[in-house]
Amino acid sequence: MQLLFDENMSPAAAGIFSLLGHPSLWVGDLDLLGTPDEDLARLLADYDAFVTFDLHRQLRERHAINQAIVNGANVIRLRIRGNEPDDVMAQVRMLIVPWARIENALRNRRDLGLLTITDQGLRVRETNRATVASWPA
Amino acid sequence: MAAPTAARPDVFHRRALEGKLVAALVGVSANRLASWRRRGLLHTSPPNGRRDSSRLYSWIDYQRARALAALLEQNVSNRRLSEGIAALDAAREDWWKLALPEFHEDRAIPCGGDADPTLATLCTLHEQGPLGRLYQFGEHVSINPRVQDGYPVVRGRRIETEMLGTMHDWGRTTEYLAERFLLTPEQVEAAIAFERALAS
Repeated sequence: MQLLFDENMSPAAAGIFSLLGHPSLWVGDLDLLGTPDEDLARLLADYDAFVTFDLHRQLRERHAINQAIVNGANVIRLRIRGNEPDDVMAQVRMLIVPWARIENALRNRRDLGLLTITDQGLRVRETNRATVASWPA
Repeated sequence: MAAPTAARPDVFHRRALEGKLVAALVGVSANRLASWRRRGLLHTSPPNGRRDSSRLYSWIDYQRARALAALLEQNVSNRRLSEGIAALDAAREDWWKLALPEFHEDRAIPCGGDADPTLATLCTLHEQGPLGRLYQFGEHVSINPRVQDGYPVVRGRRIETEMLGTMHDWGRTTEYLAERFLLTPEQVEAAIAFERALAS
């Protein structure tokens, strides 16, 4: 299983996650910083899941990434609020806390879709592909 | 397994840009955008799940809004704006591409002091580039409809200025954000200043 970390994630978090036994690459390791949405979306098919980070913005979703999910990619989205930490260890913790559930889902059904992790890893919300496909283009 | 989906619009026609961002970059009020929308000069969609009056704009409609503002500055009367847009369409079918980063940086069109409102408008779009009235931030901030749906990002990266501005408002220091996102302090400061300018 291999994860790809978005450029808004820390490369150190990807490194630590690899050391913990979950092979992970950071987008910058592939020399793809600033890459266009469509190019990044195409790349996601080569990885078991794409790990990205954003703030609590329910309104805006990323069209190319959503399209990649519709086409079969798995995306794990870490979301924080203002009073929550987002440093390297906080990012790793947000993944590790629900990891057993994530790993089980990825191993048993690769059609995970979009997984949103909030509350410092304590809350996980799954959004399946059909729901993502129903969002307006 | 992939879910079935309908064909999606390309990056230029996709309505992804929030009205408040478009208004700020164009330098007009939300009411002015709404009036152009009501007259059929702009085409928008409500955001997913929102029932208020907010709207999303495509790259093309963002450029149309800029053109409308530029035409007004060229003393084209409010009543004749639709004719002004028609003249742009006649002058160059894909005129809305002139502000794309690759065209803007290419400096393909020589501009300066043109009395013709159509040419002057095209030159304004081209010279200011994708950032519109905030073109002075172009050294560190960019907008490209192919990157992050056209939302402002740190030049050469996919890091949104809005994210940096919000996290700064939350109390993160410039130094922390620079280290966290592997940016220079100058890039972070420019992104924060850009967000402030958007909000002003």
